[in-house]
Amino acid sequence: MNAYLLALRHTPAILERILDDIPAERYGDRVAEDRFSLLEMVCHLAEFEDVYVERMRAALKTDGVEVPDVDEGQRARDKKYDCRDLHQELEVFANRRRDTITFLEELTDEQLGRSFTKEGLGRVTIREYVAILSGHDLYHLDQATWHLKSVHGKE
Amino acid sequence: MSPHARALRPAPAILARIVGAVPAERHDERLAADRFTLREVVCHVGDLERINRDRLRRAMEEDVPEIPDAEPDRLAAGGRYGERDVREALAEFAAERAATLAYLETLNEAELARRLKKAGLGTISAKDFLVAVIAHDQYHLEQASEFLDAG
Repeated sequence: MNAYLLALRHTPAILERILDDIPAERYGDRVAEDRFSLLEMVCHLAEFEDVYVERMRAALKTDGVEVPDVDEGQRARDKKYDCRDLHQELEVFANRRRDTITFLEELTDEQLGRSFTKEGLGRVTIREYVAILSGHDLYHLDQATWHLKSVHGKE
Repeated sequence: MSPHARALRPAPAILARIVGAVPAERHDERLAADRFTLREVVCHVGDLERINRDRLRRAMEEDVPEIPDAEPDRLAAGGRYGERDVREALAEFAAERAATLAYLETLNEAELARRLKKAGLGTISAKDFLVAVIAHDQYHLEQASEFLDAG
């Protein structure tokens, strides 16, 4: 399980350092019209960390359980992500990620093999879901470093 | 694209942008005596990508192959990391990762369930080995990001 935990552990620290290198007046910038701004992205990571753990808890309770999809864009509008404080949200994300790792650390091999079913994903085990979450982290780190590129003007 | 391949794809671009945000005069700075410099990190991930792809190939061709440690410090000394051009090393990492992703596209679920044995990881499936590679990416992205706020 170590590799699974390590794949998730570093994201909050990496993200914080990237954001500290970007002027605060750029936190509302978007890579593209249909993407989250940096502020919205951090709020999204903080809020959905609990959604992800709830899905894994549901799988533990009932193997194969169907979990609801959540509209990320709608949630951002409903929860007014654009009015929040980025650094507070970053702290929430880091704390929740620590809780996620504690939760995963306590799972047995058998439990990691339990699954849930979600529209768009099909049936996934907790083990596979951690790989998906790692990919989700890296997708957003990629998004965040795009802003580094726009600030520093090179790759 | 599988979740594992999707998670492996972004690291070269992320690393390139972090390196691009760090002044060139800091590429050889060592933040701790036993850690790589930023230049060495970039060379290391490119070298290891080629090694990891070979490890995957062995898992496909052999019955639970025993994988030796890559000995990163020996690779760094032999590969003269300190003398290499950072931009070229970044391009090499991106090319090696692209080759890994292309190789993964040729593997099916049964093949990804084949196992290998490696010190520190035990006997694991190829799929779990890919998670270890993702974790290795994250470890070195964290290390590289230290240079963003250490100046």
